[in-house]
Amino acid sequence: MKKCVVYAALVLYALGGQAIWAQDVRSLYDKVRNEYEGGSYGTVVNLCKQIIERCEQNYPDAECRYTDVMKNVYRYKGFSEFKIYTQEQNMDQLEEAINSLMKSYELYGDPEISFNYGYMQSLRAIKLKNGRDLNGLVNAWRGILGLYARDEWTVSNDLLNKIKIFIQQAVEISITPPDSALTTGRFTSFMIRLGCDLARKRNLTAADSIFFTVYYRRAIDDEYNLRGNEWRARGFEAEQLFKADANDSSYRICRGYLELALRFAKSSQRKAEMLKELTKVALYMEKYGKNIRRETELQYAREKASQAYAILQEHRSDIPKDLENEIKKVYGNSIFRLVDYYFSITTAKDRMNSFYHARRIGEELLVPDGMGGLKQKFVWEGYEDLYLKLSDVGYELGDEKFAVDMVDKAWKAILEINHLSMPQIYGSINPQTAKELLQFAQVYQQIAERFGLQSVLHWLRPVIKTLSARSYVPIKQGGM
Amino acid sequence: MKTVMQFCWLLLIIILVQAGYSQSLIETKFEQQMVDYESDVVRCYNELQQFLDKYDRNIAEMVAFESLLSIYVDRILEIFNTMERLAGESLETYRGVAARALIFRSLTYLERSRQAPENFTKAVDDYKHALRLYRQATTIPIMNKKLPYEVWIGRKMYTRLADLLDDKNKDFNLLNSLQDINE
Repeated sequence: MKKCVVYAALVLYALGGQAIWAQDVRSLYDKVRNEYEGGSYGTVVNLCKQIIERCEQNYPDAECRYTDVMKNVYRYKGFSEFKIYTQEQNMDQLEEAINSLMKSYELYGDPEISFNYGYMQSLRAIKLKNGRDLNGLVNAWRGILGLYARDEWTVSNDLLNKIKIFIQQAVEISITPPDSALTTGRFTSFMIRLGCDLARKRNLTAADSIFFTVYYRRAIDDEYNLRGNEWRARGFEAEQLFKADANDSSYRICRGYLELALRFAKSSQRKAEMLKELTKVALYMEKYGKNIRRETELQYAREKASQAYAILQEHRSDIPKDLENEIKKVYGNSIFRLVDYYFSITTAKDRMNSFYHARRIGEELLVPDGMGGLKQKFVWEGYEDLYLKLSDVGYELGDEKFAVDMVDKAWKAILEINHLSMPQIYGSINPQTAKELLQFAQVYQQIAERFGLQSVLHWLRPVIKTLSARSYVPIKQGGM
Repeated sequence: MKTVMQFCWLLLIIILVQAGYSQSLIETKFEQQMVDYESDVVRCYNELQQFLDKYDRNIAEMVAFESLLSIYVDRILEIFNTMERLAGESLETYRGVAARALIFRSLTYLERSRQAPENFTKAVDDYKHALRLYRQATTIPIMNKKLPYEVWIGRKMYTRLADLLDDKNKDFNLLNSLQDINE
C-alpha cells in the first residue's frame, strides 16, 4: 500500500513537471507579452530565461528559429531587467539588460535597440565613474542614425527626444569622474555637435532651439572644451543658488564647480574669468555667509584675485576690456576688505601687529609713484577707499610719510572721481557729493593735526567748512 | 473599341513613366544620402586629425572615433549595395563615394595599427575593397582623382587621396601588402 502511494506520488510529480515542461515556446512567448504589459517584470525575465533554455535544447520548438520571436524575447528580457534595475539600482541587472539587448540587436539590428543599449552602456559608465567608456555613445549614435534613415531621413519628435538624451549623456560622460580627466572631451564635444546638427535639420520650437544652441556653444567654446564649459555653466547656476541662500553647503558646491571649471579651462581668458568668479564668490560669502571664518575667505579671495591679475598682466591681449575691469575691481576689493578686516580686529594686545599686517596687505597693490611716494598699480572702482583706509593705518602706526601720502592720494582720487577741482568745491555741489568729500577731508584734517601739518590745515579748514555747509540738507517743515 | 485601346496604351505609358520616375526619385534620395554620409566621414576624419594634432593619443577616444567613422562607412556601403542590386551596375558617383569612404576608414585604422595589429589587417581589407570597386573603371583611378572637398591635417591641405596616403602611410605598408598578394 505504502509503495503504491509512493509510485502514485512519483507519477503525479512527473506529470506535473511535464505539464510545465510541456508549455511550448509559443505559449510562453504569449505569456511574456501579457506579463510585460501587466508590469510584472520579474516574471517576464523568468519566462524569457525559460524560453532561452528551451531553445538551447537538442530539439527546440519551431519558434526558436524565428528571428522575430527571439529578438523580441531578448528585447522583453532586456527592458524588464532595466526596469528592475531602476527599482533596485543593482548594477548586475543593468549589465544583464545590456547583454540581452545586445543579443536582440545581433539577431535583428533594430536601431531602436541599438540606441537603448547604448544609452544603458553610457548610464553604466556614468554610474561607475568610467568616463573612458565611450562605447555607449557610439552605439546610441548608431541607433539614432538608423532611426533617422528608417524615418526616411527626417527627424521625428521621438528622435528629437532621443538626441536630447544622447547630448545630456555625452555631457555627463565628459565630466565623469569630475575631478580627473580620463578623456580629453574632444570626442564627446564632437558627438554633441553632430547631435545638434542633426536636430537642426527640422523646424525646432523656441525651447528646443535654445537647448541645441546652448549645447552647441558649450561644445565649441574655449577650444572645444566641453568639460570646462559644462563646469562653468554649472558653476554659474550654483552661484545663483548660493546668492539666494548663502550657506556653507551652497558655497562649497558653487566653489567646487568653479574650481573644476578653472582646472579644465584651456584659454587664459577662461582661467582669468574663473579666478575672478571664485574671488567674487568668496567675497560674497565673507559678507553674507553664516558661521564663516572671515579671514580664510578673504585670504582665499585675495589669492585667487592676484592669480587672475597675474594672468591679466601676462596675456593682456587675450583678455577683453570688461573682464579686465572686473578683475581689477575684485582684486582691489579683496585687498581693501582684507586691510579693513585687519584694521578692525585690533585688540589691545596685538594692536600694532594687526596694523602692520593691514599695511603689508595693502602694499601688495602699491608701487612707487616716481615722486617718493606710493600709488596703486591700477585704478579700480573704489580705489579711493583703499587709499583712505591705508591712511588710517598709517595714522595708527604713526608713520607720517605713509599716512600723509595715502590721504593725499585719497583726496585727489575722490576729487577726480567726482570730476571736481579745488576751486569748484566752493561752487555749487550737491549735498551727497559734499558729504562724501567731507569724510575724506576730515580724515585728512585728523592726520594733518596729528603730524602738525600747518600748511595743509591752512587750506583744509575752509574746505571742511564749505563742505559741512553744503552737505547740510534742511528738513522741509510741514506747511501750516 | 479604338478609344478603349488608346486609353489602355496611355495608362500603360503613364504607369511606366511613373515607375521610372519613382525609381529615379529613390536614386536621387540615395545619392544625396551617400553624399551627406561622405561629408560626415570627412568631418569625422578631420576631427580625428585635429584631436591627434592637439592631444596625447587617448586610446579610448581614438577607438571611439574609429567606431563612429565606421558607422558612417557601413551606411554608405549599405546604400551602395542596395543601388547595385537595384540598378544592376552602380553609377560612377556611388562607386566614388563608397571607395573614398573606404580609403578614409583604412587611413583611420592605420592610426592605431601599432597599438592594435588587427587594425592593419582591417586597413588592408578596406584599401583592397576600395581599389576593387574601381578595378573596371575606365576613368582616372580613385587615388589620383581630385577630391570634391578639402582634407586638412594640421596646416596642410590635401586634394588627392594619393597624397594623403603617401603622407599617412610613410612606410608604404599598405602598398607592400598589395604587392605580397600579387606575388
